[in-house]
Amino acid sequence: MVTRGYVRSSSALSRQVGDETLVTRVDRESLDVLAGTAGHIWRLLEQPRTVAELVEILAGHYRADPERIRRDVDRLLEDLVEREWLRPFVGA
Amino acid sequence: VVGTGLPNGGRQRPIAVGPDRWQGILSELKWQRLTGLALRAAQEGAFDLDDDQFRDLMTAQRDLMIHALVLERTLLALWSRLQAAEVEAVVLKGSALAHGVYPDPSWRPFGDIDLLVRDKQWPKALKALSSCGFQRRYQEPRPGFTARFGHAALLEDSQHVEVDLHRTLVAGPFGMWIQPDELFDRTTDFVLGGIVLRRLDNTAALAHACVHASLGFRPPLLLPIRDVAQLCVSDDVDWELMRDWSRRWHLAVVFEHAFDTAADTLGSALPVGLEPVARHDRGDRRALRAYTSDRRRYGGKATATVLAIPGLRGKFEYVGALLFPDRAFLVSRAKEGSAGSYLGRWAVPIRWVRGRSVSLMTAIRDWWTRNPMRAGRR
Repeated sequence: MVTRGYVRSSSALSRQVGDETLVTRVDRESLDVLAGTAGHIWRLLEQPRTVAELVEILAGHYRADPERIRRDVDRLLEDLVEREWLRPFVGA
Repeated sequence: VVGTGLPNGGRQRPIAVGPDRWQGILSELKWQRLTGLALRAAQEGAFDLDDDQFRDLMTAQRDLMIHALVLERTLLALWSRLQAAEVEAVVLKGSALAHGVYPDPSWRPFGDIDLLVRDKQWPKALKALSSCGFQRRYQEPRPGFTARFGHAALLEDSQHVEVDLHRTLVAGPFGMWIQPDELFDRTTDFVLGGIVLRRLDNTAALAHACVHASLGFRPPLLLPIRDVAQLCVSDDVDWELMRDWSRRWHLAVVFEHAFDTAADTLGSALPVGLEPVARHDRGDRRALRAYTSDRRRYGGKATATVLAIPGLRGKFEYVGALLFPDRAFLVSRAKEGSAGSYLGRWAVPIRWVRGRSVSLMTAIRDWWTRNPMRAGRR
């Protein structure tokens, strides 16, 4: 079975400030602030995780419907990959 | 706050700060760069803050972390330029400690970039950094002064990002006694933004932290003291090597001063693997006082450096450069709008000589008054 997962981009530079995460990289002048669920996902992805793992942890944490969480997480992950803060991987 | 996150480091009872004292405390936390540790202490309940105080602290910490990220971005760019120029460099303090030693890099803010390069590569390193837009903030007293007697050049770019390019760890006599080339044998990797950089290993980093804590500022800053404590509990310090350096590099007094100051500040002894040194060389103690006493303000460090410079010729060249620097140096050190003057430059040694003469005259007068032979003649 093929699983889809994500890990932080190794070129990202980040700092945690309370619940927020500040992220930048060497080739970028700007800096992003990841707050709320985005910050939570960033912290969880200190180690590589599959989408299913992320959904399970977040659904437990926020006590929400896993299906709804999955939709939100998919959208967020897509956005974070587009900004090059995360790197997707596919494993067996 | 300084002891937060250390084994037995934090206070047991939460500390509350009244609104009348908060702004003063916040300024001090910012100046001492302790906002990360303070935030952690607040999250652990050891620092009892109301909502407004917590928000202030978060804002201060966010500002420091944004600056730290800007510095790390610059560090990576400089690192690749130094690599391209085949300059062997080591990252000191700041980012190296934040990522290599502290459990959370946000506990260890920093305000500049510190790099150590080998003596023989110093000109090449300056050229490489200059090609990235970094220029010396201050002129040297005379060309080649830093490469021979100084410890670092302060460089900055148009965005006022500061880089301290070191050739040794500290200015003054201890900087002359330390053998920086040996430090390059005590380095290790750390990863930043996917790039592998070099930092001092925990033994060399502890030696540097002690030097910085004891000799850097007077009174000592709290973050370097925390660095000393953080490294002491790291479990991989080679105390035999520390002992060797303390003997060969005259650092016994510095280490002892740093460990005592850290223990006093934290209220508990550190796990130090060095025996207390019963007797130090008087010269080393005098050299330490040049940094830690009032002598620091009155040219004490320069005087102690003269004694540490080997050979008469070197001593004369050092004193000559300090007393008769190039005009460009005077201008760069003068207050804005002033051209700088040699008389202004000599004010400190003149005051020192005058002070010495007065003490000498007073001593002679006292002796003369107390002299029993003279009293007998009366």
